Amino acid sequence: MRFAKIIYATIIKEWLILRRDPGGLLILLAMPALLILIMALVQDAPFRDYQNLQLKILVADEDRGTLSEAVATAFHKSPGIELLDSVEGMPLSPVRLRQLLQQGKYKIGLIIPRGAGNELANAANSVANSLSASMSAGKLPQRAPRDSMNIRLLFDPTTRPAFHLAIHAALDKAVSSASMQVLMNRLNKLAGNKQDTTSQERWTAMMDALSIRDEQTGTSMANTQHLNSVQHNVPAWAIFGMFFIVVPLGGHIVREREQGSALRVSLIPGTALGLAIGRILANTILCCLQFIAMCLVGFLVMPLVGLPALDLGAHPWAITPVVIATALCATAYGNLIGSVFRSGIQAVSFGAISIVILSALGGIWVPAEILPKVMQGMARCSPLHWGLEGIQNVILRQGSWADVVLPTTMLLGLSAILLFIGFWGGKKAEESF
Amino acid sequence: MSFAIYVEKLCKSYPGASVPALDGLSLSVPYSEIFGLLGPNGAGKTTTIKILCGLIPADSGTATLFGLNAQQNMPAIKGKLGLVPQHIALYPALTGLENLRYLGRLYNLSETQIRQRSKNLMERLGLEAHADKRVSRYSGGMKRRLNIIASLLHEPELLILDEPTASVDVHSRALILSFLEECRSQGKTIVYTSHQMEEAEQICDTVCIVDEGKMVAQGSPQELISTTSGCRRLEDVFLYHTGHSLRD
Repeated sequence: MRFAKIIYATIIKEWLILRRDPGGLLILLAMPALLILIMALVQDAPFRDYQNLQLKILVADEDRGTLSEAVATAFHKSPGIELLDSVEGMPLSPVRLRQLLQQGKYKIGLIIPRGAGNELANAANSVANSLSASMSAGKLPQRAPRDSMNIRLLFDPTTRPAFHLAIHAALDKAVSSASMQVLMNRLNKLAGNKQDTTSQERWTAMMDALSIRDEQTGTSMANTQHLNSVQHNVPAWAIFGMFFIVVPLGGHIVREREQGSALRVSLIPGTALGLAIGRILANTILCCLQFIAMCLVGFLVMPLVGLPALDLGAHPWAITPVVIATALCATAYGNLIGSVFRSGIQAVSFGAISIVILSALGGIWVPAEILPKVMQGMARCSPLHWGLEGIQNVILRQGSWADVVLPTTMLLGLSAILLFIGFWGGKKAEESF
Repeated sequence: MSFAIYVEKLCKSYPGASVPALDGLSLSVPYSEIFGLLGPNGAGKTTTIKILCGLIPADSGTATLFGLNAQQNMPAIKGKLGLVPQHIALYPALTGLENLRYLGRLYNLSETQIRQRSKNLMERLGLEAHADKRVSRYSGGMKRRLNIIASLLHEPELLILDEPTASVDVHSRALILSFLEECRSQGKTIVYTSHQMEEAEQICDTVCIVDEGKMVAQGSPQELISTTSGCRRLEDVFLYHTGHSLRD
């Protein structure tokens, strides 16, 4: 009964102190909310798939043959890509296209040289002739291939490498498709078949017979989410904000020691454990409330600034143990910082900087998957990594309760270590009263 | 004769310090007395208080409170002990009453006990009108008075005060001193450290002058004044035993 009373009294005391500390509340609520909003907006473009962006590709088509048509058809099927063969009413020449790219007005340019279609036809004739020779069929006109014939793809230097690859692949596919079609036409001609719409439809059907479809892992396909700016930034920066409890909590513990109130309560018999639990509980609850507030920003504020709303996935309640364990870990870290450091400035400075470092290691700034191998190993030491991993398992990978067991266990383990060191540091600090 | 506090040959050295903080200190504090622990800076007063409160262990010697060894029975002793630290050991963001309510709950007092005792003590020390004001808005003297009240809420038998009148106005000092005398009349034992010799001479039944970790004189103020040659005040006795050199 007395134990519960100590815990209750400490929670009330911590709540009153926090409520009357506008600076602390600002650090815990307003700043993370602002951070989430700004980071989500800033990182929105980099997180978008290239398909979602409106790309204008300049085309200087000097050939105007079947190859040009095939390329145009292929890109027209890609949503968000627009081919421009004239700018300001003037047809594009290779020189004008280069000028526009150099001015940075456009990002990508395509030059189809004169004779490219003929070169393709010549290559197809060559293949068809070699096949017909074995079948004693006719012969099509053929000349030696020209080495200098290339379709040229030009990029503005600021274009992301991912776009290079994507456009290059799309163009490659268009050229392959056109080559195959020309070859089939040539073979038909040698065989004496008539070119009609039926054979054209057969060709199209063959090309579409085996296509590639993107699918995501997860138990509920209906709720499958792409990684977008909101889905990454809201949980990531909410976790970052939770760990910023270190600043007010660490500073508060040092202040209590400096002011002597820690000494006073340490002289009350049988209170040590209750006081520690009360403080940890109060701040853990606060961190959980803070996470809920940040999720509300994700649900309600993000759509107001043109971003998608946060989606917590198919099993939203499964993030509960991860959030509680993250909050506990953040509080345990704040307790440790407050117990180990002797001055408020030391505690606050170290606490803040260490959170920034741990967040960078833990994949808050950029996903840990793209970090070097060594850094990925180090990320596992960061509690922020496990917090983010657990939440992303639910909201991105559509995981359920089973998928948060490992991150939650890791967070609880780290919390236990931090609490132990903090308790030991607190004992040492008592000797300096 | 039994004593509330009995200290014998207490020694304590801090790591890295060239001289020991306590070098065989012995003293005894009778029940229901105001006992002045006096000495220059660095004499060993705070170290003695820390050992008596169980905050640090002594290297050797014994400290006994209420007949119980301080190092072995601290949980039992803590309940009978009230410490008024030199710093204002309160939560500035809480009101005076909230501070007392929190501490009362930690002492496992009932809400009624907390309310009654807070009211009585605040009335006695002139803070009843400021009970709902945040401590950060208290004056220096008000903070000192609340600091004392917070140490008396659980009605300890022994009250240890570390410079309770430092930096307070004349009115607050007078109120605090008369209150300490009232506590003594209620049977409480009071150990009191101060640099104010006049104040100690006025309220202490017994004073103990310590210097360089040793007791250099103990007795009633009048006794010490009369037995020390050329001394007319307790301050003269103090300077006689501790010298005139500055201690920082």
